[in-house]
Amino acid sequence: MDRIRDVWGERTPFQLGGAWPERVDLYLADGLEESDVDRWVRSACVLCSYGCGVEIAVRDDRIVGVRGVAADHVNHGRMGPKGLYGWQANNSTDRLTRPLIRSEGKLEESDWDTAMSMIVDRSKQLLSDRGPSAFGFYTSGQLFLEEYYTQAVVARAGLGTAHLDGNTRLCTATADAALKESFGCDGNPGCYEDIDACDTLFLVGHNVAETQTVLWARILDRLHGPDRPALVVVDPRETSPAREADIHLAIRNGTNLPLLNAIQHELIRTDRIDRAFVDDHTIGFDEVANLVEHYPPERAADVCAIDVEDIRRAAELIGRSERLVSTVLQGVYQSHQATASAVQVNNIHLLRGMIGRRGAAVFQMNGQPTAQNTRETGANGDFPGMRNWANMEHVAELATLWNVDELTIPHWGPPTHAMQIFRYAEIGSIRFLWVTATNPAVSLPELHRIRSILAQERLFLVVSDAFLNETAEFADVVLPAALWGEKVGTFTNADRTVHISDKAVEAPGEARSDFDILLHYADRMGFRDRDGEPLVKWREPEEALRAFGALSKGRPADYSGLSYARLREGPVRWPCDEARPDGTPRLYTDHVFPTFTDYAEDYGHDLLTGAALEEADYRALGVEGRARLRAAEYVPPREAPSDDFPLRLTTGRRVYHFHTRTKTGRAAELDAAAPDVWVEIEPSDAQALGIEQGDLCVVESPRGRVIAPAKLTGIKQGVVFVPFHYGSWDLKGNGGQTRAANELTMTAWDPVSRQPLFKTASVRVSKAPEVR
Amino acid sequence: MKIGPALEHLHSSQRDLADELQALAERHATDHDVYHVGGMLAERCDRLAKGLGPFLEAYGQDEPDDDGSDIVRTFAERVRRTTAAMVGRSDKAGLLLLRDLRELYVHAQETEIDWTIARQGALVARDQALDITCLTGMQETERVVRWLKTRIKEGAPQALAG
Repeated sequence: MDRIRDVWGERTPFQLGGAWPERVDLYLADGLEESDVDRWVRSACVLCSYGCGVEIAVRDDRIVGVRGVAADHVNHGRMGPKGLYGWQANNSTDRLTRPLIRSEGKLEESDWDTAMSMIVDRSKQLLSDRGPSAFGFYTSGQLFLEEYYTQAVVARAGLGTAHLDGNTRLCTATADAALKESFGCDGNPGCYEDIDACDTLFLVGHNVAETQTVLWARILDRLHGPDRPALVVVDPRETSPAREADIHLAIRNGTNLPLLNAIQHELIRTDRIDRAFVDDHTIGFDEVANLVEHYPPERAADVCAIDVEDIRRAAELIGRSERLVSTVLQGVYQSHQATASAVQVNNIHLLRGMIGRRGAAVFQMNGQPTAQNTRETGANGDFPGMRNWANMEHVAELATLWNVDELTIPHWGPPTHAMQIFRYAEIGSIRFLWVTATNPAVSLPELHRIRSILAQERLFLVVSDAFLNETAEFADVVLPAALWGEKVGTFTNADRTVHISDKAVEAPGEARSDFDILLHYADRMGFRDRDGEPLVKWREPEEALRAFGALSKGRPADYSGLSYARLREGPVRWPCDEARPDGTPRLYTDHVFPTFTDYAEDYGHDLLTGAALEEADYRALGVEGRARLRAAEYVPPREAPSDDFPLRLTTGRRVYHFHTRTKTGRAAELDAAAPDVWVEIEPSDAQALGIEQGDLCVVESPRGRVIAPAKLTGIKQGVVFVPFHYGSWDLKGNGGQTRAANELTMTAWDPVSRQPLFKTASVRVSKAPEVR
Repeated sequence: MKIGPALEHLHSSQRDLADELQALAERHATDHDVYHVGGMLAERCDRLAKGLGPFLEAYGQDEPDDDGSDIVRTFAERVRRTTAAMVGRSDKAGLLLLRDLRELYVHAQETEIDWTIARQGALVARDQALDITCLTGMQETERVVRWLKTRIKEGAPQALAG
């Protein structure tokens, strides 16, 4: 099997409501056979948010391969290219195996005691000099629930800082925000089986074929089955889903909102809405109807630069559907007006009553495999257990559960978002930053700025990672971390499915799990609860899950019925409690939404500015159990194309890589499949610039430049695409600052979700001068 | 009728609010949220001020003054941007921002009540067009007030703790 050339594998078509056939994908290194494997260890894939159930093959105490789990309801045995080959990074020879400390400007090998002493000494000094607000934590979408939860307790109750966020801010913050703004709480309403039962699919800014390959295989098997669902795709690029679509709406990047408003305009005009559902289960219809009245298809066609008839036809397909599944991802989340646009897809489902039943679901998708857990545990901008930081009762619950004083837990505002954490570091108000399992020196926007922040003498930077990535080069202390397969823990995918990932092998050298690292730090810092007992009350991951079960009991993401023993029998969707021991496939089947003032995770925001509603404002809306239809007018992007920078830049990922290639770049098959950066240009744009296929180009924005060969593709005219994976770790010091797409992107974010904009900036492209 | 002078007062208050939002955005250009959202709100406030032009005339007031020459504005903008770059790395940046947001908050509340007064005038004059304009103005200035308050609440703890 070659998942590089045949990314989605052979078709196994099935019909509406049928079971998706099993197909077990397997990859073993070095020509090994299944019979050569000593043991198979239960796990799930950590290379996208779809969350395939897998088993890790171990021989002679080394990972030697993986295979899909046929009985797993997520993947029915399948795996994608990243999952099949990416595990090889674990065995890479350049793993970090000892702590490093900076000495006279250089990182040198050290030992755990010395490295941790440096961190603890600096922490104690800063705590007494400047207080908890001087501490920031920037975490990942790659750790396990138990690690995030420990991190949340250490940061929020141990130190007492509001500054803990994940790189999930870059991939999933808008999914979280959009669900809260519409339904009152986070959590995708549907499950993947809804794909099997739908009659229409609406993909908005979601190149599922490359971001979640096995989900696309599932969709393809429906599309090639006997009763193909209709497919509408919104994407400026001619992606695989766009080629399969009945209607491809190739909008200009950053114009999702006028399109979605026009579709609602048509749904209302043609009366293809479920009046009874709207009346009984939503508020805000009049506001939406009045606003979308001003968005006839002609207006959207003009702003989005697409055919007006295509908009009408798309609205008709969506309007006629009886079981609609929509998915939303980065094309929406990383454009300006991200949350305002994402909630319009929720609106469409509410207007048509397409929620809480088989085949009718909206997926506000996640980017990373464990992103959902940062949102649940409070390792991102949410409060632990999906609580509301602005609700004093919720704060009090948390204080009781942790046995700390309410005043210890920062609740004077929303937990600080990543871009603000870096801003506070920039002005010297944060002096200690701990980065776990992520790489901001490549993945955050406007890299020259990020590098200058990380390089400051006054900032003490701790990096915990498996490899010496671009960020670690700036660190004062680098801690060698264990990877997936070298530790036990749980994580949750985009349809709320919780998997356990067992430990298959020992971590190399002195590498430790982030769970153990955080416990070590908590011990050395001496964090105590109100009775003088250790604040962090667990030593083993399983105890941490149990503690989180108690913390999440009665909240939307209820884990109280989950245990390692139960998860070793198979995956479970939350909420899972005593009454629902096997979990819950669908939320809101009774069409009651968690918007009650005393229960909701958030009171909501003004979608244009991010201004927060306060409790009294929210209560006055009288939502109480109904969903919110949200109206939002379109405003143009802050950086529109100009004479100097006439093209629209969008960035994104390629099927063979994840994040900044820390792992995928170390798997030979994946690296060879996409070894270097390129820039996609539409042929007529290229011709006007005198650029031919393969010509080396310079892409420039007001902030930086990238040098890359041109690839002429069916991308929208006036738009160029640069993949974001490529940093400089594998260049050995050559050309390090002209390769990352984020040299070009701008420092700006959605005012509600605070997700940075990676898909709306302006650039110019020219042919690179010949080098003699 | 004394609606004209009330509208003139409102117009000048609204125009100043737009200018001050723009100045805030530029002075704190290195605080990107303030820069982008503040700039967008400045444009919206400016449009609202311009929308009052015909009503000023109808209620016997002079046409509003020009906003000043482009050269002066560009120069002022450049000075503010340079200031932003200079204070952008200072640990005083948080307090300076807090002070500016606070001033603007007070001004935005004044403008909001000026719209409310003008709207009461529109009602007693049975002027439906002015009424609609004033309602929009009230909503938009309320939005500015809420945004400023959110920004102040989020920024104050860090500025005061540091």
